[in-house]
Amino acid sequence: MAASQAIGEATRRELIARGIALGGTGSDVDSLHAMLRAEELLVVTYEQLLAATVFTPPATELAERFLGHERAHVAALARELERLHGAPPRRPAGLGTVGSLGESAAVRLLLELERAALRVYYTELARVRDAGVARTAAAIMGNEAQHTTLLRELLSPGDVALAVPASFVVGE
Amino acid sequence: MLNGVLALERRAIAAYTAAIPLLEGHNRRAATEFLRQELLHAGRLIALITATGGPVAPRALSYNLGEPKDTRQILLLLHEVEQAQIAAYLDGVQRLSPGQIRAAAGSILADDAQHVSVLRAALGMQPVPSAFVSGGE
Repeated sequence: MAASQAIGEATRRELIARGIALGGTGSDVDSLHAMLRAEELLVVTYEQLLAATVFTPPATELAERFLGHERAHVAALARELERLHGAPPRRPAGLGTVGSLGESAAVRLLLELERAALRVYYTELARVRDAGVARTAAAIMGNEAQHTTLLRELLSPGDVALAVPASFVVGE
Repeated sequence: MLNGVLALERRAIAAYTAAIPLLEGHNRRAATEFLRQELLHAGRLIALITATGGPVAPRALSYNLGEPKDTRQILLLLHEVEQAQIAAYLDGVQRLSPGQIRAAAGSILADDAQHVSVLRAALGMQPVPSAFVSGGE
């Protein structure tokens, strides 16, 4: 348990550092790069956790569904990037070894990543100028927010105040 | 556009206010929490409209919420109300400026999307049916 918690803390610290680096720097292509990096990190992490079979069947079903969503987000953002003649960003390497996590720690890690992605969307929505990019980003942001609700529900079933904790979703 | 989504927020407030006394247990707790959040959304929208120098449209005198007859129909009404808001915010986010208002709209849309997931679960529906929220799921 202590080792899992230590790994969780370490990955969270790493995520915060990555989150700072995720922000775009001005153009719509930069904003799309920031969104794609956040999504790619989610894809890699969902893939790693599913491959490590750390989840019970209900959590596995949820993670598989959400992985499908994250892949769809990557595809949609890549199409927007191509439309704006941007080059695809390099795929992130992931967060290292996550297979030793227990289910609760793995869900908390996913929750932290989803919230980091929400911070990226909230930040970049204020920056983007292209209407199509804005709509795509908002449609994905809503879906990521739904992911956080279901992940929180896994951790604390039936507690709606925890599942939907804030009136304004900004990734905090 | 902001007054348009404010009208939908006010409709949601009316729907939750009418629904809460008719609900029980978890559904009642969820509706009460969501009403509190919708009230904050409306307050933020009024502040944004005022800050941009626009007039705040008056509240409607009444809202046609139909005549739901049981818990399922009430939850379906709330689901429809939330979905209408999401569709309006998605439409608006393409046209809103400056960026801070666009981001604020996204943060409210995302909260409403969470409401939809909870309502869908209560209705026995897939809580997150699509990778992209559209207001039409």
